[in-house]
Amino acid sequence: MNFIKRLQRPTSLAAAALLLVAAAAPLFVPNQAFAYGLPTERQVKISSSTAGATGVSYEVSFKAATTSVLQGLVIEICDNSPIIGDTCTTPAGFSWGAASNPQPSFNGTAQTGWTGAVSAGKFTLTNAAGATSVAAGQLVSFTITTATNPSTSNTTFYGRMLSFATSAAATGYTATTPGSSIDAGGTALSTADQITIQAKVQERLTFCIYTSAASASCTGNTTTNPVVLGDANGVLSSTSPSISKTAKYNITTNASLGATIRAKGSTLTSGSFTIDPAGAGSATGAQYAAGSEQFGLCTYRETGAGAGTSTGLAPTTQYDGENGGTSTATSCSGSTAGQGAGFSNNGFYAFDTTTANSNFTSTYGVPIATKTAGDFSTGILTFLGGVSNTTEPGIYTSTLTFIATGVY
Amino acid sequence: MVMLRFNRSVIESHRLITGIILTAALLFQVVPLSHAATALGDRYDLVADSRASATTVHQIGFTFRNTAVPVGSILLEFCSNDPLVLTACTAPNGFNIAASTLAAQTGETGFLIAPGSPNNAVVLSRPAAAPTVGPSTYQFDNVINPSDGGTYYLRISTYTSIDATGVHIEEGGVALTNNDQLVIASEVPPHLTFCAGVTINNFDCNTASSFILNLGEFSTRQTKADSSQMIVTTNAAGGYSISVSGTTLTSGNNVINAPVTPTASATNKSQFGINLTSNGNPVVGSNTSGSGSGSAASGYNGNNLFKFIDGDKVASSATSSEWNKFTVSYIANIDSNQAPGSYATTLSYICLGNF
Repeated sequence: MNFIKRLQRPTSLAAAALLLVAAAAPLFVPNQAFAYGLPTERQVKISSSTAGATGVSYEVSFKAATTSVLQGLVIEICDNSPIIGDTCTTPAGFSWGAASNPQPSFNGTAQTGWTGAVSAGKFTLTNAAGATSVAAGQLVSFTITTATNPSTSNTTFYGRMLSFATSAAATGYTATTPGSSIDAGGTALSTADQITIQAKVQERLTFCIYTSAASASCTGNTTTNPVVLGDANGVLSSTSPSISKTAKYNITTNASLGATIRAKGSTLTSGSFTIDPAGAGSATGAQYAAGSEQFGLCTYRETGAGAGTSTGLAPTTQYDGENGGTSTATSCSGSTAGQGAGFSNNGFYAFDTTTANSNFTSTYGVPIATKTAGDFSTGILTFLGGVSNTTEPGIYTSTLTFIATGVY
Repeated sequence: MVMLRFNRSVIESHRLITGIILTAALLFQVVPLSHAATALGDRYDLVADSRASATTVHQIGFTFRNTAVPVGSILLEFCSNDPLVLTACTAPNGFNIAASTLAAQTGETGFLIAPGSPNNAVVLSRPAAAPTVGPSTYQFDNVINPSDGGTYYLRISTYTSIDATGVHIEEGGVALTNNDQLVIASEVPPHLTFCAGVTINNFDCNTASSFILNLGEFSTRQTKADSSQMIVTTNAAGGYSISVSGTTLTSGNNVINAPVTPTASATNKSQFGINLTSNGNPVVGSNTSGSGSGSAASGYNGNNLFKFIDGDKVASSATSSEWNKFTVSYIANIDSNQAPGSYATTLSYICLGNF
């Protein structure tokens, strides 16, 4: 019995000693997980998330957790885990490219003398002569510009970033034997599909002729035909010009080469009788001449209230009511609607019936204005009428077609 | 039992995969091909008449940009909804190009209209050949415009096939518009402007002055003469005629004789006559002036010859006429038997337009 008791006491002691040793053992076994500081604001900023993209820049940055001289920096890309000390599988397709020597920046100050080395997914920067200390909280960064992204899209991968006080420690780093780093931490990245946004802008041309008040669109405009040219009763005079300014047009287009407005039709006609086109139908047109038969028009861009604001409307030379864009004492834009001395403002009016393949009677008419791509422009059509003493009596009409053609 | 379920699962999976492949194939036919086509350049449709429902000419032009792939057909499709190739096309109301003719073609030529297209489309077909860079135009006559106003669209696409089937090579859209015509109306009324007076400045009736001629005291030894003027213009297509109405110089029952044939003035002879020309004996009158086409009438147009017949035509124009000024010369002679008295006459000149 005593023997047993004697025997039991050492056993208990041994058991107690074993428990004590076991409890204290962790204090004496080096643990890598707690040998480094955890840097904050860790990130690997990549210039492209496209799977397999080449020439991608990887900007590695973190704020140091520990104040230390740094001689080594490591970034390792892994497919499986960001945990320091775990095994690391390099993502399929990933490559750092050829070794380069990106110089790190410590707290915003560019460093020199660093050398890069590549091994699979690991990029090591070392500077054995480095003596620059990085304080805790200061930013450490460097950028590698030759990477090729992992080849699998929409897939997470990881970066492990470590700093070392000696270049030898950095060089000796492996995934499962990271060595004595100063700071170490992980980050996650991902490749992603690119999103392609597709939209269509269709060809557009809106053009309208109207006689209602000037507007900035083709909606709601109305045309009252016929447009009366003459005095209050539409009677032409052999001594004074008759002017009409009620006809207008609006145009907008996105045609890359713009649009051309053509006019087509006959001069004022009553049965077999006609009123001579202005300037005898020549391309130059003419000013009003009392006692002469004349029918012609000019056009200019309306800038008054309510009109389209786009400046892209340009009358062709012979029908230019503003002599190149500026109203002058002899511009038809300065004419006065109605019938009276001086109402034509000595402007030039034309009704070309002679220029080959480009006159009022040719198949496609004559260009009177052009419009560049843009918002609505409003044009005024100003008509001149005059007769001689021998102009045959009758009701005269001229039916004009205006055609806008965009070139896309 | 388990094995059987597995096999069914495999079969269903195969069916699913087959379905996915077929669907993908169909989508491939519809979507990606539109992205592969390049855009035809400088596209336009020049229309000779933009009225709704007009039967007119459409000249369609564009530039081939892809010169590597042979072109055997061109599809020209008109739509009211949009110009986007490979989207659903709504035919414009009333539009018809199916019955048109290909009147002319330039650039890439050799095309004929393939039969069987709907009213809003036409297929141009030829043996496939690689196009060259440069503008091409195709003119279609007898195209009927849409019956609606406003914008409509042309879609152009090219194919290697000769019937516009298969993958299209190039494409492009054009926007067109229908528009109302503008009618300008004026009136030229019939006009006849005529006035008379002793004198008239130029051709202005407002300056006609004095309507009385005083020949003074007659003498057997001297011819009394004077003149008046009248101006006239008309747009009467048949011109005008001026006649004189009145009597010879009269004093109560006494008259001065008026020769009924052109007669030279002679003193000591009872004579009252007129003419509308210049005279040397006596010196009076002027020839007709102005740019009009009027002239003195026969019997009143001879120099130094006078006559007077009530109602006679003294001047006329056969057509519409610009201004003319006529100067009427009056001569009076008496013989020794002429009864004393105050002789007078009132002459009216009547101008009649022949409209």
